[in-house]
Amino acid sequence: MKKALSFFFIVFLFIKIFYANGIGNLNNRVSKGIEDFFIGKYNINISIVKFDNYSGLSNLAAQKYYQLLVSRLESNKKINFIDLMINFDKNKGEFNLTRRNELNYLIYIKMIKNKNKIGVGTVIFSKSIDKIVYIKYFEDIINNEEKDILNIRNYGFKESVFFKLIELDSEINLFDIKTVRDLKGEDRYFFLYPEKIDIYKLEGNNLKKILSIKLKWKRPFYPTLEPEGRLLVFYFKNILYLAAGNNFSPVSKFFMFNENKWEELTDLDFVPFRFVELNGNYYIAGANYEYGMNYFNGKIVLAPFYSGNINYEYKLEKGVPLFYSIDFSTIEHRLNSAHIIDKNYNFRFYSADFTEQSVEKEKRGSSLCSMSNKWLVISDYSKLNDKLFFYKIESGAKSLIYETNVNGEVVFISSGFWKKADGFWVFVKKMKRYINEFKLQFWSKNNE
Amino acid sequence: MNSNYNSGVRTMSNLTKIFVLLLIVVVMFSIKTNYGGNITIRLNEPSSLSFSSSNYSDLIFSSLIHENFFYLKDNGDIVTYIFKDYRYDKSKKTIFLKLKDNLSFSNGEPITIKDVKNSLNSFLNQNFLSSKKMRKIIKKIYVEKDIAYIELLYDNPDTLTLMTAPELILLSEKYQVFTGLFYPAEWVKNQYLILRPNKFYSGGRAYIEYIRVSFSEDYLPDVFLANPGTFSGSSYNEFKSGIYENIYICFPEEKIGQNSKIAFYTLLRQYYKSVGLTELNSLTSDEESPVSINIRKLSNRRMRSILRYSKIELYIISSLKGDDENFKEFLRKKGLEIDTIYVSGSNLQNLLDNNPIKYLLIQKLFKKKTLLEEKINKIVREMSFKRFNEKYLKLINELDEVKFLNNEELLIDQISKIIDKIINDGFIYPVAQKRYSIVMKNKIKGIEMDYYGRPLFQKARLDK
Repeated sequence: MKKALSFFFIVFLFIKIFYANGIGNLNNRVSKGIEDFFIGKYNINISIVKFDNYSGLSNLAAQKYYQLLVSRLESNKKINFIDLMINFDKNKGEFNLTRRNELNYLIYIKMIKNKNKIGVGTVIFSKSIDKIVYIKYFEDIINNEEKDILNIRNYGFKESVFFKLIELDSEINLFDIKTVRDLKGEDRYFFLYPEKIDIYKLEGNNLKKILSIKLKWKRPFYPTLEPEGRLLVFYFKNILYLAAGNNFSPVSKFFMFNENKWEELTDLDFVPFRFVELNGNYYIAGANYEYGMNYFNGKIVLAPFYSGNINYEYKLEKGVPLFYSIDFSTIEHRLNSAHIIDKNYNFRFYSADFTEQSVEKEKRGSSLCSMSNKWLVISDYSKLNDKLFFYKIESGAKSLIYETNVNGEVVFISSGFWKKADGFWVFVKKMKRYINEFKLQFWSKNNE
Repeated sequence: MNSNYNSGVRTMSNLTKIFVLLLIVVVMFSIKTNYGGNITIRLNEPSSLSFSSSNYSDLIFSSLIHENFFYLKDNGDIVTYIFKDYRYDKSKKTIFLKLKDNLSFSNGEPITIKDVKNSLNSFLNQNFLSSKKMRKIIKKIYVEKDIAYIELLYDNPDTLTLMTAPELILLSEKYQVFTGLFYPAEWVKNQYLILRPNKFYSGGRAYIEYIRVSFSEDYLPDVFLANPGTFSGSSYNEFKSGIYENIYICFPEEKIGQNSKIAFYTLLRQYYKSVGLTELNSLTSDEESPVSINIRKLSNRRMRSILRYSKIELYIISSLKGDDENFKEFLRKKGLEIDTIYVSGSNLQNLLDNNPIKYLLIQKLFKKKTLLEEKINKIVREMSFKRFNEKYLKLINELDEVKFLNNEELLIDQISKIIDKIINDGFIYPVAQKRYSIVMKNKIKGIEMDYYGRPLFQKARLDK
C-alpha cells in the first residue's frame, strides 16, 4: 500500500511539473530578453558575474535555475557566453573573476519573491561604455510542488547524466590507471601497481596484457599503512613518456618509449600528476607525499621539461595547503586551473597562476579528477556509501551538475577513455560478507 | 486495539533504534583516517630503553619501540610486519622467513636477514621460558640471500606460535636504534617520554603524531592501567588485559635462616597489603592453583626483632622501582633499615652469577589464558636460579610427559608435586598480585589487543 502511495505521489509530482513549469517559463523569458539584447552584436564575450537569490527558494533550487539559464545562453551560437560560477553558497554566487578582462558585457541576476511569484531582475553592464545598458524584470508563479522538485538533490539535467559504462574486478592494490591512444591509433591502458606497470590493449571487450614494466624501489623506503601512487602518461614531440610515483618512495620512476622499448630515465624527485604548459614552457607538475602518509606536502612542483630532460635548476614551487589530491585542468596542455582536496577534506579551487579562488565549506572525499577542462569529479566525505559529484568546470566555472551514489568507497578517480567514450575511471572498494572486493568502474556521459 | 497500538509504538521505536545505529555506523566509518594528534599513556617509568617484559607496564612500553617477529591476535591469527613471506615446510622440518624488501631501522640503516638471524640467536640465549622452549626444538639457523631458515629437530608446526612470544624482537647489533612503531625522541626523567613515529616502521607509519608516555599524575591520560572494574566514565572504554603480575620474594642463596625468611616475607605481605594489592597464596593465581600456600606470618614485634639486627640488602627488579618511595616510607614507620638495590632484568642473571644475593624481590607477568603447567614451568625455569637442580629437571620432564597423556588428574597431581617441592625448598614465596584493565578514551580508535594483552597501536587514530 505504501509503495502504491509513493508511486502515486511521484506520478502526481511529475504531472504537476509537466503542467506547471513555472521555472522553465521564467527562464525562457529572462534568457530571451538577454538574447534579444545581443541581437546584432558580434564577437562579444558575456558572463554572469553576480547572482543573488532573495526569492525564498533554496540554494539548490536557485543554483538549478542558474544552470538552466546558463544552459540556454551557452546553446546560443551567436553569443559567446562564459560560465564563471565556482560556488553557490548562502544565496550568493561566487565567480572566478580572473577572466573579467576578456568580457565585453557583465550580467547581474537577482531573484526575488513577489507575493506568490518568483521574479528575476536582469542588468547588463557594458564595459566599453562603462554603463548599464539593459534592465528587465520578469516573474512567474512557481508552486510548492515545483519547488519540491527543485529541492531534490539528485535532480540533474537529462543531458548531463553520467552513467557507469563498465565494471571490472580488480586486484587489491591498483594505484592508478591511464589511457592513451598511440601514434598508430591503437588504445593503450596503463595500470599502476606497487611494483609494476601493466600495459594492456583492447581486444573486443577484453583487455589483453602486452607488457609489464617492473618498478624497483630502493632505500630510503617508507612503508605505509595505505600505499598509493600516481601515474602520468604523455606525448611530447611524438615520443611517449611514462612516470610513476607513490607514497613509500621519495623518487618516481620515469620512462621513455624509444625504439619499441621502454627506456628508464633519471628518477624524478616528486610524484608527477600532469604534463602542463605554462607561459609557453612545458612542465611536469607534481608534488611530494609526506613520506609514508596519504597526503601531500603543501608544495606544487613544476619541473621544466624538454625532450626527456628535467631542468631542476629552474624548478618552480607553488605553496598550497596540505592536500589529499590534486588535478589540473588543461586546454591541450595549457594550464587553466587547479583543483585540490585539502587535508581537511575541503575542495579548493585555484586559477592557473595558483591564486586561490574558492574554498568549499561542505566536506568532500579525498579523490578528485578533472577531464578535458570540462568536467570535474569529486568523491564524497563517506566510506560506506560514497558518492560521485560531477561538476562542469568549463571556462573557469564550477557548477554541480549531477551526483550519484556509489556502492562502496571510492579509492581513486582518473580520467581516460573506454573504447570511444571519454570519462572517468573510478576504483571502488566494497565490503562483501566481511571481505573487501575491488572494482574498477568507468563512468561516462551518454551524449559525449 | 490497545495492544496493536503498543506493538506499533514498539516497532517504530525499534526502527528508530536501527536507524540511529545505522547513522552511528555511517558516522563512525566516515571517510579516511584522521592523521595527527597525540595520545598520552600513563605507565611506570622504564629503567632503560632495552626490551623488558618483567611487568605489564614494561611489556606495553617495549611493544611501542621494539618490533616483534610475529604478533598473535586474540583470535589466533599470526601477523608479521617484517616478513614478506613465512611458512613451515613439514617435509624439511624447516621454517622459512623471507624479509620484506628495503626495510630500515629507525635511523634509516638497512635491516638485513643477518639482523633477523642475530635477533633470533639473541632471543634463544635469554632465560625466558619461550627461549628455552625454542632452544629445545631448533637444530640450526642459517641464512641465504634474504631468507632465514630455521631447521627443527623434529616436526613441530607450533613453532610459529612460539615465535609470537613478545620477547622475540628485531634488534640491531651495530646501532642503538629501534624497530618499533615509535622511537623515543625526548625523555624527561620522572615526568614523561615522547615517542615519535618511526618513519621506517615496517608495518607502515603511524597515524598518530606522537605518544606521550607519562610517569606522573599531572592530568588524566588517554590510556592507563587500572584495577578491573574500578574505573567508570562515559568517555572511556575498559579492555580486559587478561594479564596478572605476581610479586615474589626469592632467596637465591641457601644460607638464610628460616626465621629471617619468614620475617621478611611477613614484612612484604604487610607492605603490599598497605598499598592495596591482593595477597597471593599460590604460585600462579589463587583461583587456578590446585595447592594453596599458607606460609605462617610473624607478629609485628617478632618480625621487627628479627629484621632490626639483620643487615639486609634487598635486590629489587627495576620494574618495581615505582614503589620505592612508598616502600621506604613504610620501612621508616616500621623503624627498619633495609638497603634497596634495583637491578634491570637484563643484568640480573649476570649479577646472580657473580654475587651472593640473598634477598631478591621479583615480578613476573602471566597471561591468564596460559595453561597452568606452562606457568609452573616458567616459574621453575626463570626463578629457581642457582637452585635449579636435577630434581627440578626431572619434575619438569615428567610434567612434559604427563601433558601428552591427556589425563587432567595426573597433570594436576604433577603440578601439585612441583609446587610442593618449590615451597618446601623455600627459595621463592608468593607475596602479592596485581590485576589490570586498560582504560582508553572513546576517541581513540583502531587499537587491537593481542593475545598477550598488549594494546597494539599500529592503526591507532583519533576521532575528530
